[in-house]
Amino acid sequence: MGRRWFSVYLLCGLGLAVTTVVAIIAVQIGYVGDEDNPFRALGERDVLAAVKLSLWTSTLAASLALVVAVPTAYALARWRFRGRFLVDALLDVPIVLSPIVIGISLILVFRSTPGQWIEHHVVRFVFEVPGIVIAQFVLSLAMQVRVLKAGFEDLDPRFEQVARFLGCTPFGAFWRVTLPMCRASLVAGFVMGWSRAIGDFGATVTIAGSVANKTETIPVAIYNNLSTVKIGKALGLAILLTMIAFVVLTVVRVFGARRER
Amino acid sequence: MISVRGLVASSGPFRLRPVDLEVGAGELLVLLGPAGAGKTVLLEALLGMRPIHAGAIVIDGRAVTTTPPEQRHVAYMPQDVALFPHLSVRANIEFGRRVRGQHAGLAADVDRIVESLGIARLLARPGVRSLSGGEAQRVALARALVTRPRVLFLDESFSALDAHIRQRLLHQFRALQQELGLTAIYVTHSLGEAAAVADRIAVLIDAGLVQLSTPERLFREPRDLRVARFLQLDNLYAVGALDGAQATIGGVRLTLAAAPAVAGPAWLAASAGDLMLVHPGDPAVATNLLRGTIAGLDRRHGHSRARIAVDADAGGGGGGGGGDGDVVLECELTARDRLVLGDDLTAGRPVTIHVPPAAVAVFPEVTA
Repeated sequence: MGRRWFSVYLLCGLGLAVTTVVAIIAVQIGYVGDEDNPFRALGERDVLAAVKLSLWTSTLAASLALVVAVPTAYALARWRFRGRFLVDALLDVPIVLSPIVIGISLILVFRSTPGQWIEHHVVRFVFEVPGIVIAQFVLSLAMQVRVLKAGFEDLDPRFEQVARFLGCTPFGAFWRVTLPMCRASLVAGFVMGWSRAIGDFGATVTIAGSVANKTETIPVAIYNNLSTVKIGKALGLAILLTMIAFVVLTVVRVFGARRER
Repeated sequence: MISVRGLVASSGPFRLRPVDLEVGAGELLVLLGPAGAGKTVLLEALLGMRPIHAGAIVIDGRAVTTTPPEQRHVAYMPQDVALFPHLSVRANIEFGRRVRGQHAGLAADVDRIVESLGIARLLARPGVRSLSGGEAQRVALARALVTRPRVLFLDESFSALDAHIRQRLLHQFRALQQELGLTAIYVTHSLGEAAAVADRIAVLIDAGLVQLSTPERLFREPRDLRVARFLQLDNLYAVGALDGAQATIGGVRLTLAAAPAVAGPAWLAASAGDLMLVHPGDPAVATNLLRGTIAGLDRRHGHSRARIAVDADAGGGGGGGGGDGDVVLECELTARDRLVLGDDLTAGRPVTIHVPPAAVAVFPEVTA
């Protein structure tokens, strides 16, 4: 393939990808029904409740997942042990699985004897808000481990070795050198995990149901409004979700670019 | 300062043969050897970064064989320097002291060391990414020295630099190391670097420590053929016959300074810089006068070298014997040679070459 054709090939790919995403966003914003204006629906009480619920559950789930993902990803990146590839593949399963399967699995977990004990003595998950958090946590964790592991693997262990000779304990080297040097991966991992959490429908609806004003996250509310032919409201929420994703991803990229400089 | 006894370390399938080593306080020991000889494995084993299967390491009277790196109070400077890119130049240099909570006198120590290394102007830099190779090496050296280590370990630390910067930095480092009385172990594969800075050189070949001696002695008395080949000694020949202080190479008999104690096959080497072209009747030299012809001239690295094919019937005075023409000796040409013999030192000219007995090193082909 000549240089010119190769450039055409690249341009076609880039153009098609951008057009697809722009079209998805444009058709949402372009929809203005006489009675069902999507922007008017954004101020309604149940919509605001869904937004609030989605924001805090996804942030909590992604934060908890980050706490677990950091040591998991670091261990997978640095330790060499028998069965490492198996563990690595296992942790990727939630990325590939349909979220509904994860939701079903979580329901089965909380139907088991230990799960029932937790439900009765610690906190209720099934058809409750904590169920949303745990579903989002599982999805977010897999994503964050993937991104963070790549970041830790990219970091030359020599930096940590030098830090040890400068007086750091293994944890000290990790805290003072590894984590700051992997800051971009940490932010990227958290945002990817958070995006996965806030956008989830299948796992959330399976374990927590779709109780209005209780377990109705933005994706669940979109589905519920579509089912009841409230197109404007569904689209308003869809636009909001799209805007949140776009703003967050843009901020992360700007932050990343600044760090690089 | 450092005592190593029977140390056996490994890196994957590579395993060092047992190493015994003593390094004195304030000494700069160079670990020298070809690529793959085990220099870095030995250094990393001394640092505690490699599994140790046997032996013991004592630093400053304290057994540290299994001590974690941060408790050894030694500094390590790898080839890629590994400056922390998220910290400023000053924060990099102060890192070790701050981690250990040793803030007293830190500013003064930093100022003194950066002044000695000529990098005071870099202290205000907010990051290390913009530093040149030489600057980064100096900052890394300052970072190591500020911790006041008991021993400084350097792994090919200056090898990636341009020759002139490396040379300057090596001299700067050597001066500072002597001024501070710092014990240092420096790994390199470069003979020039080793000879320029070492108090003693430890030669590693084929996963074993083969020889440990001063640079002068190393080049004068290589332990065996492997060392001589690695050191690229001049005029390396298998000794045909060894009879007391007489050695014969390719039919040419040479008188040695003393009878060498070599059992089994022997080799000899003679430094090209020590060999001299002389007038046949020069009364100042009586031994090892060999007649021959200039086979060629080499002009490299600013030196001229003549390759002298020793005559098959070269009946030299004193101990010189008849050769069969297989012996070609390399001789460094000096201004004196040109003064004495004239400027027409060209290929084909008959000459007489003197091999001073003290310039000849005889050593075994192999040692245990």
